[in-house]
Amino acid sequence: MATLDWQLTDAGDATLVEVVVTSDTDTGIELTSNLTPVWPPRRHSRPAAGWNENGYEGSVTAETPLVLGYASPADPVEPPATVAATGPVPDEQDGSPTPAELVRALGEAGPPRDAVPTPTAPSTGADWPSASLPSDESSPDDTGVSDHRAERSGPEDGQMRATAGDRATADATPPPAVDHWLDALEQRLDAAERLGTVETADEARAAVDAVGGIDAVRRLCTHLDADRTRCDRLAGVDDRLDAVEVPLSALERLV
Amino acid sequence: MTLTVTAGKGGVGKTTVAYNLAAELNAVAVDADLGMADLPSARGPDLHDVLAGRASAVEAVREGGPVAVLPCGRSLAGVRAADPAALVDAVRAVEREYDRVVVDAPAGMHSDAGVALLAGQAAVVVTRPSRAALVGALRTRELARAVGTPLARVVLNRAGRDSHDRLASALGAPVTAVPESECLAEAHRAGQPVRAVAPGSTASERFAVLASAVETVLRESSSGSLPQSGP
Repeated sequence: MATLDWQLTDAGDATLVEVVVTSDTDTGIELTSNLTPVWPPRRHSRPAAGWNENGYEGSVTAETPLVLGYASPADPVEPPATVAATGPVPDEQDGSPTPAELVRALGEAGPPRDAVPTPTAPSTGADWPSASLPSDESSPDDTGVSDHRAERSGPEDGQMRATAGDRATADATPPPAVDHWLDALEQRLDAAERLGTVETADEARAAVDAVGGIDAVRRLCTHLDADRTRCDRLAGVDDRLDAVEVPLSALERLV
Repeated sequence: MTLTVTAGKGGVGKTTVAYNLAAELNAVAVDADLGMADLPSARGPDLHDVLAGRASAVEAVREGGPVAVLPCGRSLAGVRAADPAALVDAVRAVEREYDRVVVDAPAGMHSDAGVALLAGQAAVVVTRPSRAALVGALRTRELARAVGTPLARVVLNRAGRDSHDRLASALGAPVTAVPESECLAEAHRAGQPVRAVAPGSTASERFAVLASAVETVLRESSSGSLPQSGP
């Protein structure tokens, strides 16, 4: 009979689960997590052998306990999992490995996530202070280049196709680069407004120094001109957004 | 039937062999070298798209050239998005439609090389008479054995006049020697199989003999009577 011992650690955003499965006979076991979703240990970007979305399937011997660890974003629950014996230990697999087993064993040859450029990120006025994209938040996913390696449950999930309908869907969530640009614009406006309210020479010098010198103020003015042009476009879009209405019900009846 | 053409290291002429074998076998050449694609490319969906689930394998096959090709993309983002484990299903889909497939596998020992071997019913290992290439060929033979894909032939590119018995013994498969020749280089530059550029050349004859031998092995593999590869 398989028995379970466990230890839980609250790591803030996730709960870390350590379990030890012991048995007085050699047996196959199925561990089902009470914390969902399960974040299994990964090997070469894939769940390690034996792990699935519910937990783990494997075997334990009478001599050696089975030690497992995983994480979950769920709050700690006691017990974190249940274990059930599934019968005799299955024989070693004969024959060819599956493609997924090969990838797990040999590792992927593709470039790491950070090596993939983000070609569609719009300019945020990066040469002006505080306006650059935070590098730790940018990722290939932000550009619509889907990354299977984060979660590969199948070739269809999370993919973007360059069709009008799919682009419409993808655009429903604005890429972070747009938010970064808006943040940078607000910072430029704050700085410009501070510069516009100075009344004494000392205040002017302090405000210019705060921006980074008179050259930085000149660059700021250039950026504000570009911002005005972009915002003119946005104003036109804003009017159209107010005016437009898709006759969805009628289209659904017709298609 | 699917043949995987592979090598232990790059630069030994693997893609040239794959392309010419595809021409001889009237097969679709699948450029499975995801990071270092070398077969002719074309606009439209490619293997990166197929392995990312953005296109079907059959719709990505280009039939216009001298050899039907499923090309591979050249972008880092494409490699990143491609799931190497999906290659086997993609190759099977092409095989169902076109019957004969030659997979140009990536060199090396990573999973993309392993999955490309897994996709074939038999493999051809390409090498050159240099120490690094021969060591790579031995490692690839071991990978093929671990994956369970029999080795049909070894192709020794830029071969000299020496005997190749030791190489055949070490790798456990007969050796086809392809000497260095100007007509091969000319065919490569023209994007043609060598039989189209120099039909009577030694290289052309060797590829014809190789294709015939490989075809026999693949037929035996399909009927389940293939002996295990190598000692």
